[in-house]
Amino acid sequence: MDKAVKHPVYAIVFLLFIILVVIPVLYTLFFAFFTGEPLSQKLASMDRDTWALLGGSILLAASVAFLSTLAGLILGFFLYRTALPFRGFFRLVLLIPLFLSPYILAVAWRDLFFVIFHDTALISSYGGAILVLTTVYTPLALLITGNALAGIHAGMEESGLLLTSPGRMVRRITFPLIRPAVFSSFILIFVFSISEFSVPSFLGIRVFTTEIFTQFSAFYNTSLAILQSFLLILVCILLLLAEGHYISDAPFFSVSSRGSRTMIFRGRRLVRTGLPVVAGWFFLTVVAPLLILSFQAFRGGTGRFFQAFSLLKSTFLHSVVLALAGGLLIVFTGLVAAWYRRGDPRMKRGRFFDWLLLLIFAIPSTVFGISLIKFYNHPGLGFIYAGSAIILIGYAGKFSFISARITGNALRQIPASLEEAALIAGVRPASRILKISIPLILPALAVSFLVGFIFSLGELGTTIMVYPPGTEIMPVKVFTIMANAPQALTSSMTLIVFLVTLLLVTAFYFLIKPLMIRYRYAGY
Amino acid sequence: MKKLPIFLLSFLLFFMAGCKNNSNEVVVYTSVDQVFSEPVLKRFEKETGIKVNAVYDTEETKSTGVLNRLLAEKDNPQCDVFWSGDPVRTIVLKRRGVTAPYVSPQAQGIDPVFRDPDGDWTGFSARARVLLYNKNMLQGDDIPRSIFDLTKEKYKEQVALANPLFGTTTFHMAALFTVLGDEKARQFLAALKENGLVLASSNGDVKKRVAQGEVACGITDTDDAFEAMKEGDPVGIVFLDQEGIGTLIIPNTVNLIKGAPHPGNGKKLIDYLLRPETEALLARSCAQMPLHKGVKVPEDVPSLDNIVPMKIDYEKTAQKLEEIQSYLKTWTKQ
Repeated sequence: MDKAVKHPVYAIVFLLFIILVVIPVLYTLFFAFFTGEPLSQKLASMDRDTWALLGGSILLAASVAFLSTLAGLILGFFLYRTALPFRGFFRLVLLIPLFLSPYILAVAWRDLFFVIFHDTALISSYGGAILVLTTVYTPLALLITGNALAGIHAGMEESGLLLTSPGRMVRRITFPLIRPAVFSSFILIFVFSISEFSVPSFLGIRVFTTEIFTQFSAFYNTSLAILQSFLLILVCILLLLAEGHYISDAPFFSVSSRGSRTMIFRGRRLVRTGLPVVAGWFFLTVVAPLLILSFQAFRGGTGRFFQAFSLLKSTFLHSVVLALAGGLLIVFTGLVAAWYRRGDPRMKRGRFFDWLLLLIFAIPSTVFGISLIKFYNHPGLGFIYAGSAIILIGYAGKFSFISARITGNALRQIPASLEEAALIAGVRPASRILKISIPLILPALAVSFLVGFIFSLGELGTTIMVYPPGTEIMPVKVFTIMANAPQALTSSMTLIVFLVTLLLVTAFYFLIKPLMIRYRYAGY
Repeated sequence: MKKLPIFLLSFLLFFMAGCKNNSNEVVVYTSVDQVFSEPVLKRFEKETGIKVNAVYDTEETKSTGVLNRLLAEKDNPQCDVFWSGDPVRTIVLKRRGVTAPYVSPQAQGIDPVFRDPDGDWTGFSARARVLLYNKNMLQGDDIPRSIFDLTKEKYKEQVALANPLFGTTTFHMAALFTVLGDEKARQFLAALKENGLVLASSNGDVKKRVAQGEVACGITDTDDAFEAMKEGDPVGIVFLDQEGIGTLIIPNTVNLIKGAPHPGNGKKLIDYLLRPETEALLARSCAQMPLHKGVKVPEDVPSLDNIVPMKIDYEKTAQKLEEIQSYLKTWTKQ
């Protein structure tokens, strides 16, 4: 056991995560593998078609990850490295697709294609699924790569420009510096895309997740569905192995420039090119879907909108409290997981925790939900299963990986000299953490909380499996009502969820702003 | 930092505080769309004073949530009553030993064909599988009257059907196999595919495609069809094969869960759902056809007395469904 594992806080959180989140999954995997038919027979039922679907899913996820990262890089360059007008506004509004469910965006995109081409065959294809998912995940890529671009010290690029051409400088200096962020963006989006079910299913595309769903819901073959899910996890783990090999000690997600000056490219040509690109993307991925939703919601007046509000209002408080608690748990788990890996350049320490976080992040929501039911639905564990705790365990399990990555990178950017100076000055460990390290990573914690909060507020796949009878959760209610409801009501509910999320995110921004100003000395 | 574990513990205790075991409650899982099922359950709560704790799902997601949850909870049931939108899921649960027999006194007036011979489930308020067509695209003699018309050249690439691996569509396919025999049913499905059948993601998707004129017609359930008409879409419906094999009738089903924590209240809820008054309520909200005779319904809700039903045994059809699932999976891939 290494030094980190011996630390009581780390040990408690690590053990709690294993007991509350990991063991239920291993318990279910064990039963899926080793009970009922012999394992060889179960594996034999995965025919050539299954492997072909897995290949197709990998290709689709890789395409989405590549295109989203590329789009994120281009947008990130214009928004973080040029003097583009309204860049602050665009940085915020381009994140809006993150607040909307991929399923709703797929519906909006198909409606848009029908309005324009009077045909949906184009969008109901692999290409269509790639298009929709790319627009869904580009905001994530923008966050990751944009901030990495903003974190490059001007001195490095200026020195390069003294010696060589801008193109060569970008290839030799800029790209190597942001390469870890590019890889990480690719990997994170790949994992999200390969596990995504709702968009391919809605567009009628057969992928590996729809095959898993068929085993669950048409053949009721839970064991085979879980075995197939395990293949998805293996793919994700292999990808992370590659990441660990190439970029283990490089920054993943910079959330500030740490006081360094970033080189801003100015020039009319850049603005003339950048503004249409950014505004076009904004129109296509934000304005168009919201316009369609608004048109559908208000076509027959405001009656449906008020009806939707009345249906959803009972869910607001409980859902927001749960998402806030989920956000806090996610930040705390991510912080603890990342904390003990800081200062270890080879990133060996605490790697096991990282693997476990990824395992749960990569597992399909339905499998995770079934794991939680099978483990917690036992006499004596009803105090977890019958309360909101089961939902929080779901949130923490699903999203702590992202938080650990965000916080981990911020921690690695803190110069060791600061803590060393405090150590020499005799500052107590608790004060060093609370007065030096935490303020320095405050933006990362804020981003981490925000991402955890938004994802928790919209989480449906696991929540719908485990939410206690009689409780009302916003995404579940939207989903169960929208099935047979008129289009105007469905679109109204989507708009309301979007507005609630936007309102809370804005409130959080203004709440956190004074703290950021207070700790400006730390480089924000 | 030393206070951190205490903080965490208090935090967890706070979120566990919500769980309590109340004897004056009933837990119901339902795959009937919340917009229709919730008002009925609220009314039961108000009239009996028994608190209803519901878990909702939707056919749009093929009821993955509640069905897999009921199967996963089999050894330690949390649910008392399962209210399903169709008999398929209930029969799946019965075969896996999740249901318990209960013959409600309210089931007396319901035709035995809609009741399980072992008393494990009872049917009520039914939907039918109908043809929904776009009035701007099909008129007069062009409107199909039989499901077999859909293989004709003039409907090429103009017919939509939901994925037959799930929900009421899968039951419809199984019913066709039961009535026609395997060979004829396969020939029919092959001809449909040959004629450029559009596979939709759900019955709701069929409704949308027909309503916006993406295809001329499609097969869906009466609740989806009536919803489209209520929204003012230019659509009409046809009960197919009234001079042939008849129209498939799909009743809601309700059953008690084996080892239910509140069996007494569960039975009360089952009795309540099977009352003619509940059927009248569902007729008004989603055009479902009562199975009791003499229930007053709105004028636009059809009566089962005027429809020639497809003559099937629901248990045998559910068994057929399990036999043909692999074939249907292959058929959807072709």
